[in-house]
Amino acid sequence: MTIFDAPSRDACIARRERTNTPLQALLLMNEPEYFKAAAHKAKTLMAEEGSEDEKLIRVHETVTTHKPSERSLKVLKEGLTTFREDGDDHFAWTMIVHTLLNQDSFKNKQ
Amino acid sequence: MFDLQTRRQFLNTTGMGLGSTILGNIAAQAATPKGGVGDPQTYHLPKAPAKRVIFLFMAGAPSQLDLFDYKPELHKRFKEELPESIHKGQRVTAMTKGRAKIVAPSMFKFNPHGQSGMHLSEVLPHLGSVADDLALIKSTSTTAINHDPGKTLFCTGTEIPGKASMGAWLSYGLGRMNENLPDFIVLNSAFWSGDSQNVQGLYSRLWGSGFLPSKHQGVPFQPSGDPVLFLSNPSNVSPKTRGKMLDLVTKLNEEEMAKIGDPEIQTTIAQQEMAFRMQASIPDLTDLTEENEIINEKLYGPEVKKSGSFARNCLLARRMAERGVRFIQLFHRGWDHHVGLPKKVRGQAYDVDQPCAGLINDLKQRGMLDDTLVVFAGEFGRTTYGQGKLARDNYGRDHHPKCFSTWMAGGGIKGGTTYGETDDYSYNVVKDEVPVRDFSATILHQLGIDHDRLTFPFMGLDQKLTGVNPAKVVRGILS
Repeated sequence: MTIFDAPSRDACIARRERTNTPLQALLLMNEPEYFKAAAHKAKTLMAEEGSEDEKLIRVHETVTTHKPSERSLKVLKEGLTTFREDGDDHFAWTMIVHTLLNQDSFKNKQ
Repeated sequence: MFDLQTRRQFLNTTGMGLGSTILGNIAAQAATPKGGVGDPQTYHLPKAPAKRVIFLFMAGAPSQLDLFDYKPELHKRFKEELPESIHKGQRVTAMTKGRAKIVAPSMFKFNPHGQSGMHLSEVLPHLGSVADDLALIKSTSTTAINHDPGKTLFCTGTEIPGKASMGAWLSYGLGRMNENLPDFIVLNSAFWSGDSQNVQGLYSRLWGSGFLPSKHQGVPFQPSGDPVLFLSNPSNVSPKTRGKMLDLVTKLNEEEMAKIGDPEIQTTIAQQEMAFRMQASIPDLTDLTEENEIINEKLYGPEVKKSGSFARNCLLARRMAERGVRFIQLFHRGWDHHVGLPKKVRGQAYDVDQPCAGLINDLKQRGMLDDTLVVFAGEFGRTTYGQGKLARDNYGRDHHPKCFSTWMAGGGIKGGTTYGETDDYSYNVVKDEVPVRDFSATILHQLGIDHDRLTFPFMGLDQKLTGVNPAKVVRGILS
């Protein structure tokens, strides 16, 4: 939480500092447990019923609370194809979930 | 630059009734500093002697009386009461309020250094060896009497938390000098020698971006261990896959951006790109195997071998300066010496004396001192009257805002200068007072910025680092 500039809790504060640093981006990209969470979600998703499109829509909704736009869905499908060039099916789905977990709309409350 | 605002910024700057054409105008002003060089409206000055700043911040407030402000006559007044004519019933902290103000002369010897004969305390021998590079300002003053507002004022131009810090202003006003490292990096010492019981907090607001887009905020490195965490990709993710993932996430973020127009999304995109580049640039920056250890130890002293020391951070600051980081701010804590000052000040001086001199010499031999401004300051000074037990060789000092000493070197500063004077007690400024806003105006001036013209509209005011009171550049220390 230090990296996200969370208060240290040794004193009260009226509001959180607004911060957005490359260190926070690095954490969300590379922190092992965070990446494992994506891998785990990918595994359960693959075991579920439904077409590839349905799964992409479902995981997008799970992560962001809303369904993807047509454009987003197209982008995610292309992503899945290109990630399959770099590893097996589980790896490709892991990278998709990992990507969703790195979106601005996932880490910031609007 | 991105011409976008959040709903809240929109309401703040325009009021609810104004149309979208005005929004467009104000947004453009808000997101892009006005004018280029040569534009009469611009904040750019014709000359910028300094390209970058290394700001050595001494958190806790070092005693000017025991380090920089030589008052030999004060020995005759040991244990005398401070005259009313000097303190004038001025506001003091709750710690010494209502107590007798008994004079505590410094126990340290002062020696003249360099061609100018600048007097510095015996605990600063290495700094003495570079006295001809220093402009010592004895007449710095502040309005704050407690640490948090004091530091906030020095770092952001006002005691009220939440405004943009100096490094953020420079990043906003001058743009990037390099693509691979942040414009503004913060290095905090992991340890210090002076005082481990009474430790002052450091807050991210001291290097925050306030009302400026948050991509201008300072990036703090870890004080100990790896300076930046999570640099390596998960073991099964190749750089190529990482690149694809970032392309994908950027597409998703851009779509969100088109939908809701929050400029913070642009910051996220920029910071993810920066994170990707830092995966390569940080190992290059922090890998010291190419450094000559023997030479570095001679320059920065033995502590340079320890990760997290002020000395090591000075060395890292030099490496950052070489790689085009604009504003590098070091924070060294442990200067708040209410009791037992002599022993603690010796410890702190040991931490910083040789590294400061080493940094100046190192920059000089690399031909970088001319365009690197090195700045040394704490948030205020300490009282001439003692706090706690008072003996010739043991005393403490309370917070003192009315006068304290700071110095600058390099970057168009006239070395061997002693600027400003304090009274016989080092209590009031008697000549050439330098309020914090003048200090900040001078730093901006050396980087080629007119402090009055670099502004950002926020809460109905053209915000400036130097605030609403008139500020002036301290010309007497410029070469």
